[in-house]
Amino acid sequence: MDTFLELRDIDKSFPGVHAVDHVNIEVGRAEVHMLLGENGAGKSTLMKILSGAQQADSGTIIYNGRKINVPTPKRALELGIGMVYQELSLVPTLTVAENIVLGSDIAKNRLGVLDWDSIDRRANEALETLGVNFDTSKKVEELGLGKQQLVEIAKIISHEADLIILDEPTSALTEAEQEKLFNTINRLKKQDVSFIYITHKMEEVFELGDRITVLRNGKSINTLPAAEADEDQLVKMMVGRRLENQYPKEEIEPKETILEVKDLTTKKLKGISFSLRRGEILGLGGLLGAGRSELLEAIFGLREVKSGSILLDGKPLNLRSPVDAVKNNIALLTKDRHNGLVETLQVDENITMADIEEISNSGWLRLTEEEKIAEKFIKELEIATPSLDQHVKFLSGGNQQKVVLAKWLASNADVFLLHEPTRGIDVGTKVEVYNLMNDLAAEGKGIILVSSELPELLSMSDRILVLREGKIVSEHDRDDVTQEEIVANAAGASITD
Amino acid sequence: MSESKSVENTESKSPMEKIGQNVYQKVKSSGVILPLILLIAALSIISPDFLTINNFKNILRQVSVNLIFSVGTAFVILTGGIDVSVGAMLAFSAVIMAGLMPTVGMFPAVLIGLAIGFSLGLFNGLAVAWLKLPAFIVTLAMMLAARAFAFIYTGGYPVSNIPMSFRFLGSGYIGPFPVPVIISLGVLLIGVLVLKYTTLGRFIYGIGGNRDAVKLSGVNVIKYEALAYGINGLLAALAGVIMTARLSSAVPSIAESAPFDAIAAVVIGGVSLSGGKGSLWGVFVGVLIFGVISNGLNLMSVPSFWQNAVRGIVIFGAILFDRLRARS
Repeated sequence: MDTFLELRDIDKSFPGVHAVDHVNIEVGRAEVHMLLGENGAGKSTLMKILSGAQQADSGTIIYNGRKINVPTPKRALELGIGMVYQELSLVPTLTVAENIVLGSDIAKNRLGVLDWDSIDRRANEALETLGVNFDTSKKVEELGLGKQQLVEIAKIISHEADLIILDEPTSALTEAEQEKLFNTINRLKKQDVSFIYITHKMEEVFELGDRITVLRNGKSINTLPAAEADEDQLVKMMVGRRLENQYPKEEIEPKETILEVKDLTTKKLKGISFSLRRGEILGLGGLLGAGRSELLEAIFGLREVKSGSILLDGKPLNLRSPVDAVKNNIALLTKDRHNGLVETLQVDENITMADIEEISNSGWLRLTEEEKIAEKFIKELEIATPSLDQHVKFLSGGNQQKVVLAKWLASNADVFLLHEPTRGIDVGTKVEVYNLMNDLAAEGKGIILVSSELPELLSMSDRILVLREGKIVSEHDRDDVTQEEIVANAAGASITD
Repeated sequence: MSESKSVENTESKSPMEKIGQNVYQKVKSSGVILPLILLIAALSIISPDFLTINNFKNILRQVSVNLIFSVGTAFVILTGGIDVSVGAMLAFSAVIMAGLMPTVGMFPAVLIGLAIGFSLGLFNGLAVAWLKLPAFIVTLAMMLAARAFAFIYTGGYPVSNIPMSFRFLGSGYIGPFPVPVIISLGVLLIGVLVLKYTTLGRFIYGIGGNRDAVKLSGVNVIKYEALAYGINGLLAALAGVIMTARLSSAVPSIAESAPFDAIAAVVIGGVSLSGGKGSLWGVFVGVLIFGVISNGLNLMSVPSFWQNAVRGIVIFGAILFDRLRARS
């Protein structure tokens, strides 16, 4: 394999963090190079340096045999380096076509007037290359997250990049869309396009990767061919130790009922009834749009309840807003971490956010009390932060998630609604989150888990309800259900083969 | 300036040291203290009358009204909002207060004036936080309407039937200190304490940083966001009390440029217009910068038409300086 890109001795520090520590990586022509590592390992920073969004403190980039400087993302694109970000960088109010050609020159004619025919043509070509097909005159904000991700990828493809960096591209894609993306990657590979692919999902590593580089704490630990790697070994390299069990579920005998939902109907939900017991983890399965989020949000006071009731410890609740929910010790861990944190506030200030009554006296904050509580949870959850005063935006994703969890632990919630609690966090932290769920169950809390990762849902739940079109379509015990059954029930198909 | 950013052991420090260090950090991080020092140095060289205690007392007195309503505006901007009705709320509450003073007496009139300011501000706040209307438009509407009512109530004439004893608030002294200076510094100090040590302050920063996250933590965001606007109205009215006392009359056309002076001082002081970041110490420095400039230009007898041009250039320069500094 001839070397197409070489990152030599790249180094980058932020205040208090050595994000990228003298990293060397080589990527061959037409190679899919997988980049693995826990949150905060330095993958994203390294790729931002390569794509011009950030500048290295030192180090050299050799690209196509030449030493290059990448001061801006625009320059990177001109050189043929395109990056598809995890946080979408589309303009929501522009159309699909406009977004795809944004930043390129061909869309203008000699008079400088936009050439709409060529814009549409190009956008459609890009989507065709991806093997997908949807209306390019739609505004991006009208599309679901998965389709937006595809537009983002199409945009980079349309720039005819020679090196495409993908940062967890499948996190919002459906199975079918994911398949199309993989096909496109394999097709572009044949046209000598190289890829750097960041992911947390092991299946992708082996399905797509040619070689794998593992980063840990900003350093490159090892680069090895995918054919010679195995999962245990990679996890060990990422975490720095061997993980005994990826899903450390503990059996806990459920106690009395804590939450009861009776015939709950909202705009999207149709007559949902179930009960949750203390010490139980109840999983909710279903496709996107099946009503799982809606159900959590209704229990948290974010949805208008048309009929039916929600009972806590046997007494009916009137939940008009999250204020009422939190007062009744219900906690919601949102799917998007950014809705759980105020990034401009400090770690301790975030931890006590839902528990302000505990640390205040007729409106005045007791800051020493706050510090005590924050310190306790930082220690308990092993949150890696240089200090209590650190602003949350400087923490890695996994640690941010722990801060959100700490917030709800501090609030002494009894019912935890966990929406994708391990989304975008690394293996090591995932296990910590699972252990925490076990602890909560053991303390007699009730937990509802919504997760799109089926292995997680099946391993951690005691019982699983599958939703489809706002209704509960099936209920399963954890001991006698397979992934296939859940998928089939969620999709409304029967298992035939 | 020291390079170390490490976390010092805060326990070993006395509370006074902690506060002192805190003030220093806040002012330093607001970035504008350096332009202020440069400005003072330059003016000291240009004008021999500048660097005198009397002149500094003057500057503090001149900025006292601005400082009061800038603190209020900072509360609003910290939530991520904006309020352009400060001057109108000030004028409206001031003319009503002055109009009522002869009949209901001084203290009740002042209290009514403050209550009116608070209510108008709260109205703005509820429209923004509860009805989810855009802050700029809501307060623009308030600006037009409140100003109009100030004119309607007075028929366009100043209300000057003010008791002599009331003027103490505008031009009196306690010891060597002018009363408006004491009041404005008191407002600043209380503002700092509220922002740092109360739940209101915490949530004002939180709402500006990420309103959804605060709401999803079970906090009544509507209440706290609306209160920030209410406080702005209250402080506008307080500024109106002092202006009325100083001028011995309440003028319906007064303080037209107040919202813009306040916004400029707040932003120059390092408060982010998108909310969630900044401190009142920075706002204090921002207010001082404008005070020092006006004072210096007056000492140099620069024609008033030119003064606004200089102010404009300073606003631009200070913001540019701050951005460049943040980038490096």
